[in-house]
Amino acid sequence: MRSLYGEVSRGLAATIRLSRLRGHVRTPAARLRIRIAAGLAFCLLVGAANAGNWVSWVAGNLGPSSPGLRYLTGDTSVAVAAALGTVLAGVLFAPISGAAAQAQFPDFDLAGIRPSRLYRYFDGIWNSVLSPVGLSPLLLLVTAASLSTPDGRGRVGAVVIAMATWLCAMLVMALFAWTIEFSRRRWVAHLRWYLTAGAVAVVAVAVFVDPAHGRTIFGLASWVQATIRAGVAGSTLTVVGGVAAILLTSALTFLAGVVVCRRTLVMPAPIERVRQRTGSVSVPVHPSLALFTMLVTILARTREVRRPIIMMVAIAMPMLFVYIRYSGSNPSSMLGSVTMVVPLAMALGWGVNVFGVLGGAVTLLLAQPRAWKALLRHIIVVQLLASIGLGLLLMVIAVVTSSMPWSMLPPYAAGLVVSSVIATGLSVRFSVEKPHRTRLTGRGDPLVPPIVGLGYVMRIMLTSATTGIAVAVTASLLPWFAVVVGVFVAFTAFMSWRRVSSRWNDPAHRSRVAALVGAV
Amino acid sequence: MTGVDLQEVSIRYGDVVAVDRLTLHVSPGRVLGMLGGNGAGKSSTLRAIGGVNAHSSGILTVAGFDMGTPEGADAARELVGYCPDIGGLISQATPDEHIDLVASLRGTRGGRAVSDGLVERFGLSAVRDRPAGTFSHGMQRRLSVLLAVLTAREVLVLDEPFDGVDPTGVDVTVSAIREAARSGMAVVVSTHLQQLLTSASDDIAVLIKGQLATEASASEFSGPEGERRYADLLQSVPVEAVA
Repeated sequence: MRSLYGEVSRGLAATIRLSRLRGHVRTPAARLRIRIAAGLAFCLLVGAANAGNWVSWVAGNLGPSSPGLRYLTGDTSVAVAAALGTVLAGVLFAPISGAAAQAQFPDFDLAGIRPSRLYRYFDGIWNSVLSPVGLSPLLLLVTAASLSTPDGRGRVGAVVIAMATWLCAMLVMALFAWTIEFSRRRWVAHLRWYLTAGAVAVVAVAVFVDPAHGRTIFGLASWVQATIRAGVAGSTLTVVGGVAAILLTSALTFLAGVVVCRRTLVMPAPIERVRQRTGSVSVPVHPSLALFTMLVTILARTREVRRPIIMMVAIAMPMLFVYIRYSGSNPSSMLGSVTMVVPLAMALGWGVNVFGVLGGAVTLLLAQPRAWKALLRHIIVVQLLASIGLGLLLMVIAVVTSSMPWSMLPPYAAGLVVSSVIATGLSVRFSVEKPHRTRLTGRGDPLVPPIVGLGYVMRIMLTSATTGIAVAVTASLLPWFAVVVGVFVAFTAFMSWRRVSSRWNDPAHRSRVAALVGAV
Repeated sequence: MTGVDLQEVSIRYGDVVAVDRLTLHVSPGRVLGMLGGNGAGKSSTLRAIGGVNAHSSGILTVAGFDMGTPEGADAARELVGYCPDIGGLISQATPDEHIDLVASLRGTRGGRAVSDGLVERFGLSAVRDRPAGTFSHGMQRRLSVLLAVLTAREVLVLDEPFDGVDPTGVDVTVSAIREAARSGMAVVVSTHLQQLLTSASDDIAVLIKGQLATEASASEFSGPEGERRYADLLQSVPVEAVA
């Protein structure tokens, strides 16, 4: 126990030192951006904690019989259940995708420093907390806690419960991530796909078997909601007891996570089966088609690109459809979630650092005549086609498997197109202006550093997802508004294209991109 | 055919001057070997000749085309085969896919007799359906050199082509260099293996701190005497300058 304590404190100290080291090597501009992002995250957290007041004010202005007020004063625990459901989905899938146990530096870079072994455990938590994987659950839980206390009574207790729940979720995620890694090293190197299939099957069966069809997150949401309500009613002891229970669970989870991590790291890293042979694609003779074909091939053959997209599109979205269908929610929310999620998934999985994904191929392509011109166009076309194509496919599946009329489809399809155009434009701009060298080794390596990814998620969500939903919702009610938004988006997309292509046309800038991403 | 001509060419990365007013000429049918310490500017020069890097000032002409204009650079890229010192491959693509892609992009797709012969010669026949990312470092270098040789029409540029390559691969590369020169191409090769370079080259240029320190016949840098001469040149520069 004593040696474990020593290892834990040395590991924590190493993570703090490494994060400081990262800070030292940042440029002043990058430091400023991080401070702005931290300030923005804090503002969002404060906003989330006050969401109840704002919604209450809006509902109050709507009158006593408004649905908003009925929702706020009703018995439903939808907000807490939705937040907990989303957090649990993240806790389940982030470790499977490999995103929950990322180190701050590649192992090779630290060979000369040799930090204390458990730095990997704390690095994983630190990276998760600073990334959308960690921050979005915090915002969701705090928002739900605030919405559950609309008049302010019991708010502090509710927010403390939300934060304790978030801490527990992060530690459960770390435990799950290291349990997966332990199993990979001890038994099956290729475990993630089996786990994904197993987790989907377990969740699907649980939703069917549960009398509430998962609406109360198998009783967890009801318990959290009951504890919050006790706080609203003035029972401080119940809230303290609830928080203590969550913290005790967190402490036990932490201990288990540390032990599993320590046992994992004494074993050698697993050797994943790498496909040594692959069927050759037929490369067309036409230069433009040849380039397009190879870009699609690269997308399909790169695990770090392919897996998150498949996970989002082929697993998470159908699971959400099942949940929406059996929880009795509005079926149109299936179409809304596709409008928001698919363009974001394509952007984060491919577009935001496409030159990093191409790596050494950028040098090869820039040395070919005229390929640099076509490269940018084709990158955009691939992303747009994949985003709109996959999105439409999911929308059709949603309509076919639910009771929605087909007339619901066109407005949301328009929203999907708008969302895809904005997400593609933004992500290509990130790729051209801020490429990142990345080592894609098939172990869930991120395309961009976590803190950068957080900024990208926020910017893409705030622009593409919100505009896409706005167009989808208003297209059937106010078609002229949707047309105006469409024209505006087309204009801004054109201006963005001009700006990005003029940057890409600069040979000195292309040189810098090739030098940065090509040295892998 | 006019080979490669650099007149007062400079290459800068922000405040860092990688190549400083370099003047060089490689005639068709000649092989120029480039020597120099780490950070001397060899790779930057070769990247500019290969059409990947832009030069900041001066006049760079490759196969008669001005690399300072987009049209000239694209016309030159049609005639240059370039093997970079690092990267330069699609790790997810097989050798056959690489060959088809570069041939399509250059509009030279036709029979596979030439490429099949090169694949055989560079010892890649057994791995032509394997992604390049699964290759050893030496095999990747072989593929990179093969692509450069396959696409070169007037100028062949090889940056560290022998790095990690076994003796058989070295022999194949050296013979490919000689054949390219015999067919009238201008060839530029960079490596730290001095004796190998002098045996494969007609002329040697030594770069120090981005500047041309000396240019001489390859024979002047061969043998123990040549090694001493090169070592003296490198030692004449402060350590921090080549770090």
